Amino acid sequence: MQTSRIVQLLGSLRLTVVCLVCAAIIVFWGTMAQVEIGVYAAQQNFFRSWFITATLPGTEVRLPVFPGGYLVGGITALNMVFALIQRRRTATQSPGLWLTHAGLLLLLIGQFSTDMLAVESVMRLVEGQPQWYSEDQRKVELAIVETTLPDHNVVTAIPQALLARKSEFGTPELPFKVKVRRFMANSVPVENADAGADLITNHGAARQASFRETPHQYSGDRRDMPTAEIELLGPQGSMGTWVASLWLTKTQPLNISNRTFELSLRPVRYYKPFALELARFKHEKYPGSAIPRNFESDVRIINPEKGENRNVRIRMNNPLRYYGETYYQSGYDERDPRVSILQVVRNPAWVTPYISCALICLGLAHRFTSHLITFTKGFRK
Amino acid sequence: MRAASFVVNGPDNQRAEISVVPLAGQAGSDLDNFNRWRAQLGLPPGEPAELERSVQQIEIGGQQGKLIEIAAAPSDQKSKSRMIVAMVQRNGITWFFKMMGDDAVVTAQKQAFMDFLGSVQYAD
Repeated sequence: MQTSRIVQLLGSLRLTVVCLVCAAIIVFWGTMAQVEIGVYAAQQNFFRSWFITATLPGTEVRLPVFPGGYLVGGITALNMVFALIQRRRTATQSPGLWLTHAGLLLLLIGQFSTDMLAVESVMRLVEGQPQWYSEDQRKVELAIVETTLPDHNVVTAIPQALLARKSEFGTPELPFKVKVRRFMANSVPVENADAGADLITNHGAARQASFRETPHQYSGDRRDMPTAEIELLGPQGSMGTWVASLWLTKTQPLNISNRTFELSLRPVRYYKPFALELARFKHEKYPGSAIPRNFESDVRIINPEKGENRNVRIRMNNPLRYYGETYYQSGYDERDPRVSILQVVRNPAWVTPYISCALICLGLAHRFTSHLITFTKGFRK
Repeated sequence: MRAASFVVNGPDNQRAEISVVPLAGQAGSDLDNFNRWRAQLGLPPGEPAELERSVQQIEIGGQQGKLIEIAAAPSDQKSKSRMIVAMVQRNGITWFFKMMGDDAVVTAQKQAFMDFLGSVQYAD
């Protein structure tokens, strides 16, 4: 009895209306909030969340205050499924209803899959320089690159999520362990060491300065600048403390047991089995104005595995689709005309919006056509 | 983090320090940096309009950069500090050239500092 009531509720029109109203509130609230907290933070807190949270006044405790995008979308999807099951007799006579709802369901599932699976990064190309990786715009990694061998490097990267746990890490590839003593998700440099800042490092390039933690950066055109304070633990004990920061412009060299390493905190890199080399970047503006008219990059794809070496043109609204990724002409460097910036998107669920729109259109077309035929038959009678 | 450091000594134990610091990316907004430097001189944060009035365009190493000069006078008027900061972005790095110290020394060395900025060359 209880179960059938729940099932009825899940398939009820009333629940559909509640979900639609919640969705409208989330969209409005999230849109207003992004003015203050930025697009990315608004997306994370309002749309890509199960609950929208707010900080309890006077504390740093965050409490859920409203259903988030995932919860409302999930309940909407369940509502559609249960509604179709409950009204299956009616629905059987109308394939268009099935198609429309299947399309809507696929749209919701597709968007959730995109959120979970899609990876966005940026590739900065300089004319004449092949580029083998793209970089994440938000997340960083502690990179320990062994440069001992002349023909290749070995990269050990500890992602930001693990650094934030302040644990100890070791791999068989490294002759030392890394202990994270402190991780600042966003930081600023404190230039003068004698201005009361604690100098905790006794090694590396950061001996002359320190960093202090600051609140997250929510502005759309700037990113958090993380810093990690680490201690290296070798076979004989501590090898000293180091600071790795996104602020630092150079890697820090380490020499241990006749092996050489370079240490740095850098944006997460997504290495490719191929390189893109910018042959020419064209940036056109409308005559007599600073309004951009066209950006296009003539790029060479160099793929040793496939023996591929060919030219392609990437321009606005005409991306390159290659190896499961899409390369969009995203921007340029105002100070260097030789630089083109591409946005790289890997989204396994990219086809779902197209299929769902096709299903919805077919379903609606069937419904409208059926009604039209019924109407004209009745009209003739 | 510093690429170079210099100290200039003046009379009566007055001094100024010059530093060259490269930082990744934009290294904060102009207003963030302006207020950070003001805080180093013990001044309260300034408004964007004040920043706009303080910024001059300058060429550093063949590229257009910005120059800001900030002065602070403590209430006892015994020691007055001054700071001149130039910044330029190049290849994804923001270079800061800063002279900070006693007002008399910084003022006397201002032209030499400007000549230093004009002489900057990058290795690559």
